[in-house]
Amino acid sequence: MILDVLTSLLYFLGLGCLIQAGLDRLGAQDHHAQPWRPIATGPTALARDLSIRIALGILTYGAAMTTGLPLRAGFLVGAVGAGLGLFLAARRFHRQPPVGLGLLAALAWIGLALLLVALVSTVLPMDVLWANDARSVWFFHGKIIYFANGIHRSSGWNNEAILFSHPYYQKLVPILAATEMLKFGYWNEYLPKLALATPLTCYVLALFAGPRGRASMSTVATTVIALLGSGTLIHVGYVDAYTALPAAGALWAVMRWLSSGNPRDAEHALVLAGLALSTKDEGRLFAAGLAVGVLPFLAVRRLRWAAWSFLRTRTTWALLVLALAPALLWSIRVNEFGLHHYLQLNLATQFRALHRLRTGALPTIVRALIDPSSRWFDSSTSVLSRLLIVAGVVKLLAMVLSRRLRLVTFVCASAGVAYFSAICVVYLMTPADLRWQLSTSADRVMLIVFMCALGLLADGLEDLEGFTLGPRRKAVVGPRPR
Amino acid sequence: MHVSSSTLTRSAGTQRSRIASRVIGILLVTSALVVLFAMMPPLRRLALDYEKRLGKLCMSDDNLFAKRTGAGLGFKTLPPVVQAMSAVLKREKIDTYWVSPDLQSNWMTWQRIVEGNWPHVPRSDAHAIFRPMGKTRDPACRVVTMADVGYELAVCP
Repeated sequence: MILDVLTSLLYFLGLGCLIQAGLDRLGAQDHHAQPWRPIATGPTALARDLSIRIALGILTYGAAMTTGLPLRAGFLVGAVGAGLGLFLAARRFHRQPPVGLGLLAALAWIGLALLLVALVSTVLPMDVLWANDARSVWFFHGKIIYFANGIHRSSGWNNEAILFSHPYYQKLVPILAATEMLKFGYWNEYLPKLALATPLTCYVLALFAGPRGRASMSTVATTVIALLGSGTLIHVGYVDAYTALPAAGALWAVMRWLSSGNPRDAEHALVLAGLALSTKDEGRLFAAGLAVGVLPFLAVRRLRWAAWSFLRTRTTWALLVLALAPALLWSIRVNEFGLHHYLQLNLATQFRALHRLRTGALPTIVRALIDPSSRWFDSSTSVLSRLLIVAGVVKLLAMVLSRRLRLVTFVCASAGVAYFSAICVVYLMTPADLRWQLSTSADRVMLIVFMCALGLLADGLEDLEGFTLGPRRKAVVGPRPR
Repeated sequence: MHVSSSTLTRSAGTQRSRIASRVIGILLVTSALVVLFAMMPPLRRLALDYEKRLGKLCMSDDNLFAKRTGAGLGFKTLPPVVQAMSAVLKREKIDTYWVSPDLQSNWMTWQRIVEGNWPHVPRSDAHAIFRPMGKTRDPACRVVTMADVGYELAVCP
């Protein structure tokens, strides 16, 4: 089983290396620079680069399978690609082997991240798929894909008997589950969850890249809090934690990009946001929220320039296409299969939202989201308000001690507020009974807001850890001028 | 190369200040984390849950992973009626089936029937129908009884 998790990891890492090699060639045409980018050897930079490669592998595979490619054939073609990718990476490493203490530190840092992944992954297959959405939605779709050998019209997606399982939901996790069981050669109710180990590795590595790109105690602590805060949702087979964790990783990457202007961090944010929006619909809301959150920072000239130079490259556009591909392709297939999302933006939903607004449903929604009375799962979203208080106090203390105002922290607040507002609108529009919908989902959808609050805390803790007995500094935002 | 004593003193002072900053930073972070864990019982509870689960795994005599590897494992958690239906569908090599309204009325049972029996597909026009025992009147139908769960499968032409 451990071997199986490792092979999955190498499979997607290899695929990602191959895609990255292609992107680097494309980038070389833009910059007239070296035809490939060396793999970083700093601890957090290595974590970031590995995370990007695994994410690229998962996104490419997910997009290819969504087109309707047969599962077995696609897996075999992917295996060849992964082998080639790993070979290219190994050749690169052999030509310019990084040496010294830096490499050792980086490997120790990655080792620590993998240890955390191993602790969570060990728990994954212990319980059978008992949770409702896990067995009746996500892994049921995986089962359909597994037995139909891919996503086809004839697989039964538009069978009325399976309407309860929301067949129009995103297919990235079901594709990974079907692929996992393809390797075992049979379907059972324990092992499909192992498919979550590879994305989890990608997300933990993303969190280990840190909000400041510094290998620090705060980074480890916030990663542990993110994993524990996701609660039982991380191992019961629901995908909410697997939407919230890449969201957190994307936030960290954006915070780094806003501080340094390094395009690699923006690329990282892009692929992680792509994974979040290909996993669950809430990921789309988060990606939109993140874009809204970043917008105010573009008022800063240096950041505007960094964003402009990032958007000018062909690599960025290729990455954007890859990041959006699984979700976009699935939307096309949803139309092809004639499936309808239960939440449609039509006149009826708008009237419903207006009616609920008039009847005072909004305060009920906000109250239920912030402090819900019923929790279906043991997660930390029930103490979100406490996390916000601690994060606020830590940030204030850090500001007083460092005598420095880091405006980039507010990207977490603005993204969180934008996402929260969008979720409130969705609840206003839902055709289901509002109280039932809130009681069954409020704790799960708030996990992304929890991660945004954690971003505030992470930045504050980094400030405290980097505390220096030095002179007063000015407010800083954006990359420093060279 | 001559290095003045004042430079050395300044450098030592900077070093001391750096170490002091580092120690203060770590202490501040540790205290913030202690406060956080004290204020958030779910985090403590979840950490203990992980410890319990991993402990169970380590202390177990037999390999817990081995118990989870194999085709069809875990179906025992499905309702007995679903298990019985699944067995009959496999034995009779039936691809499509339908169920009587009483089995559809409970949404949870219905969901378990559909996802538990997949790739056997439920279709309203299927020739094989699960009904409560004794409800099949048509003599042309072949009946497979599932006495232990009180249902039967009627395969009608």
